[in-house]
Amino acid sequence: MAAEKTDEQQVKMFGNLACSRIRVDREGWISTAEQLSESGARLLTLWGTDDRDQAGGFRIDAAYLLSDSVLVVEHRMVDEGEPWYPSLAGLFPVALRMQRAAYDLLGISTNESDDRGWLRHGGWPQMVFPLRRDVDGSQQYPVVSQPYSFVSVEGDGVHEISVGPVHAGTIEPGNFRFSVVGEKVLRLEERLGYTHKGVAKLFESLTQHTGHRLAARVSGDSAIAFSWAYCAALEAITTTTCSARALALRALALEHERLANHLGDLGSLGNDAGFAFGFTHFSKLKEDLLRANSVVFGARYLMAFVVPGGVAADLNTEARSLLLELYDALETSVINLRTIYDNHAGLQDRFREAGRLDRSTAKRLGAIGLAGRASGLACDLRVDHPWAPYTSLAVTMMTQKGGDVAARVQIRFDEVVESLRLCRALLTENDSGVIQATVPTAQSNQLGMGIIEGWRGPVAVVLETGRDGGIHRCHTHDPSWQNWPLIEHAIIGDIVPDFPLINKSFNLSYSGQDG
Amino acid sequence: MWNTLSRMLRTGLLTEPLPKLSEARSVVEGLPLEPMQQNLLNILGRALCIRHVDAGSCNGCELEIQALGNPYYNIEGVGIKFVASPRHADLLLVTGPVSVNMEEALRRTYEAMPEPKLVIALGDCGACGAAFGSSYASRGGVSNAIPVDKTVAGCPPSPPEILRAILDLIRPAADEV
Amino acid sequence: MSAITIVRQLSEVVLAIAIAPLFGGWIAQCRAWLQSRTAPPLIQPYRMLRKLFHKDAALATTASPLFRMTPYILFGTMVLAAAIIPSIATDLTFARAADAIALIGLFATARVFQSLAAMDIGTAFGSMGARRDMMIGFLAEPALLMVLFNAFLLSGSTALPSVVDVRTMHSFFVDPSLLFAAIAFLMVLLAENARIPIDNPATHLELTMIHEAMALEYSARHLALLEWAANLKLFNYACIGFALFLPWGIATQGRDGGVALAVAVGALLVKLVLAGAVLALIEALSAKLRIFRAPEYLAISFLLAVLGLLVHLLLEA
Repeated sequence: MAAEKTDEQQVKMFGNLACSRIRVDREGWISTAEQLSESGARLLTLWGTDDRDQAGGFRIDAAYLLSDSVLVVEHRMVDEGEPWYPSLAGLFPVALRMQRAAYDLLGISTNESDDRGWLRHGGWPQMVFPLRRDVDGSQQYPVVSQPYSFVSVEGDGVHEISVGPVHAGTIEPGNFRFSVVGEKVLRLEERLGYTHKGVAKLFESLTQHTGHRLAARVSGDSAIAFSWAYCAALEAITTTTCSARALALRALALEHERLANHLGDLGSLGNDAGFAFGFTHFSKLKEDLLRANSVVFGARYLMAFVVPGGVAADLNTEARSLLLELYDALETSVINLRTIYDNHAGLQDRFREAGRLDRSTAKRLGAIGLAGRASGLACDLRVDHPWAPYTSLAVTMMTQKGGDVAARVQIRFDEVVESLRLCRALLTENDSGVIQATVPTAQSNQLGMGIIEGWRGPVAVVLETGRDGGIHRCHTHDPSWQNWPLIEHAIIGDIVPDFPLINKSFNLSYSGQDG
Repeated sequence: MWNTLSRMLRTGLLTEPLPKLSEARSVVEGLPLEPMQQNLLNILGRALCIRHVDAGSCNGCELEIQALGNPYYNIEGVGIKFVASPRHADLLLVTGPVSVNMEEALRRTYEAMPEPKLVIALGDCGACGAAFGSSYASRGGVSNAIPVDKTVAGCPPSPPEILRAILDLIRPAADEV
Repeated sequence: MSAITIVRQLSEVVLAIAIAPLFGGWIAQCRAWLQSRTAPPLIQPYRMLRKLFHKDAALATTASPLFRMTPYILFGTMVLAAAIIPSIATDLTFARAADAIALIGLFATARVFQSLAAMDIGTAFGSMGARRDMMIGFLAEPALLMVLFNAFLLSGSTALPSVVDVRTMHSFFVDPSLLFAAIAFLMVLLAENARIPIDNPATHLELTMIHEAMALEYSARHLALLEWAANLKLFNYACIGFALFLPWGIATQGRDGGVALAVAVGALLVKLVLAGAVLALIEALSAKLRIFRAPEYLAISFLLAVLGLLVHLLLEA
């Protein structure tokens, strides 16, 4: 379903899902976006590249999720003077922050007026753009503290509460500026970027066959999703096929990751509402799962499990029975705890109506993944655009209509039960095959995209190969980019003490977003 | 309510015994402790309050720190608790390679803590920057921003390793916990 | 005012100061057991206090003398309250100078100073905690007064020792009006002492804090005194509850020799153990209320106390 324009050209691209790539000029950039917006496509990610070492100037790419494929629209800024491209924020609100990030890294601007740094907090000078080819990424600069002009709310009795970046609990850093009247929140503005570690620049110093290790560490709780997305991109470029066994193990690990995060979140949500019983029992279940991971996969958190060509190790012989026992125990416990949660009046009173995000707002803002499904948007790549082995697994999509904290709790319960079913199905398949196929070195300038439905939503890694097995550009995308702005809308009308519960019900990644 | 109660009673106590203290224990690697320091650590060690700061970590270490609160590891049962305010804390637990955007917040947290205070850099990132190293966006390890008393390697380090490191630091004179 | 009376008074104060942290430790122990985990030893609160006294105080540069004085004022008012409440004996020297209404005034003084100190530094969290605490406080006070009125009607005096004296004269008798008052009192106790369902003492969420938000800027000895005062407040409330509803065991006027005092201490310990277990159970089974449900909660406790009054008037008339 590529847009039909006269001044576009098809360019080759690879991916684990059906994808195509077109090159457009400045008018085409906007007109394609308009057409895609009208047809209901969603903007997945946006990134810039410095091609000046290949005599190509600066380049901006946008990847769109269509109903049956992925479309990458590419625009080269080859004119003289400052490189700029038209902003997509009017059509796709989610593009706003991604464009600010692209400016912070590469200095390519848009016609938007918001020029506050998103990733740049004064840690490097204004005129240094770290991702440019001529900038040395290892150079350190002294931090120059700069004020960030939050949008202020005028009115009688309005005051501001600033939370972060250091939060009271064991959680990632981010700054939230509330404008409140008493306890009621009038406006929330987020400021992120505190954990920016220069991942994009670091990738360019790695080889194609070692990049997956860094990808796994973009967001530690989605290590499998990111490393799989990276490996999928590389395998698509080199047309390597993984064995059925390796794919089944990858999916098993991904479902374990989904389970671990959902169990942890359900416990934390209970705890944040003052119900420590929930935390006790869910954290116990999560620990049981992680210990099983350790026995079966070799590590609690699988940072090094997914490698190019397959997985690092196979399951041992006792693994199957141990896991099946674990799944049964988990399912019984989760169903019992679900009854307790559902029947606990105090808990439900906190969960219901808090942080409500209705379907139309979610759709307009481009919500994807778990947050989108809780607000009634049916979007799960395992169902819409399945890739191996999900093509043969018939995953059931779980949605909720409420869009409040209670809906996001219910969806987690539903997905836990569904994941356990998938895990059992993956275990009972007796696939054979090598667990790690050899992946050849790719030629330079090949673009591949791996998209995996992680537990938060679609995780994407765009890999552009460089010379001699190196990496020209690697862009990682976490679904938190789409979902962070949702919280700003979900909290309006709620009270300040409900914010931690609402935030936790989304549980978005700071590090995945910051990169 | 009865469902909840019956589940509580059925589950019983889940806490496991503490990990063994390692053989070689010292506060600053290599230097022996003075008697006054030892005394102070004894007092601190029995009722330790930890403030955690994420200085740019990928969230893996945070998940393992949160696991210390589950009933198996039960860090509260050892007399150690996590606190919200740096003014209440004795030990600063830092994860991440110290991203430049978090450097100032980390420093201010450290300065807000009253003496005597200790710092543990957790994880490979905290120890030396690991995958993220030293770059325009990362300081390459906690010791490049604030003084560190102990590092714990691992990516991420498991809860028993974290607990053992904390106990080694605060109870060097004790033979048992 | 003989020597024995002074000794009695002092021993009650010293006992309160000494075992208030232990009571807190016992509640923590029960809560841990209900969370399927082991708890630190019962003396853990003392270890915490000892450690805090060994730390250097780190004060914000904007701290005023009020900020530094408040922990001492809080501790002092709680100790004074402990001196007035008949926990082990009713023949108390200080009790003649202050009745239960003055007792409520002491708690109010403590609350006001704590709120002022919280706002002193100028952080958003301090003001947030202060205003929430004031809201809970000004709603809880009338409820508490109503509960006390129930007891005053029975004994004809507003001094707690006389309430105990009158109540212990009836041998084991449950007054239906006191039943309502007891439930109302329990609700007020949970609200005033920052326990679930009003506040979560173990929370790590800065935006939901009420009580803890006011202590965020304190460190070392100031923090130690604040914590001790909080423990004392809970102990005092528990003793008020025992005096009103379970007074048996307290050494009353005329029968307060050494043996009677020892029995009173034993009875108090037993009652504290039971009360702690009940508190922990309530906390374990409940979730924290949304803050704007707290006024409803306190209104219910007020109404229950008024109901108790009505029942008493109807039955006695």
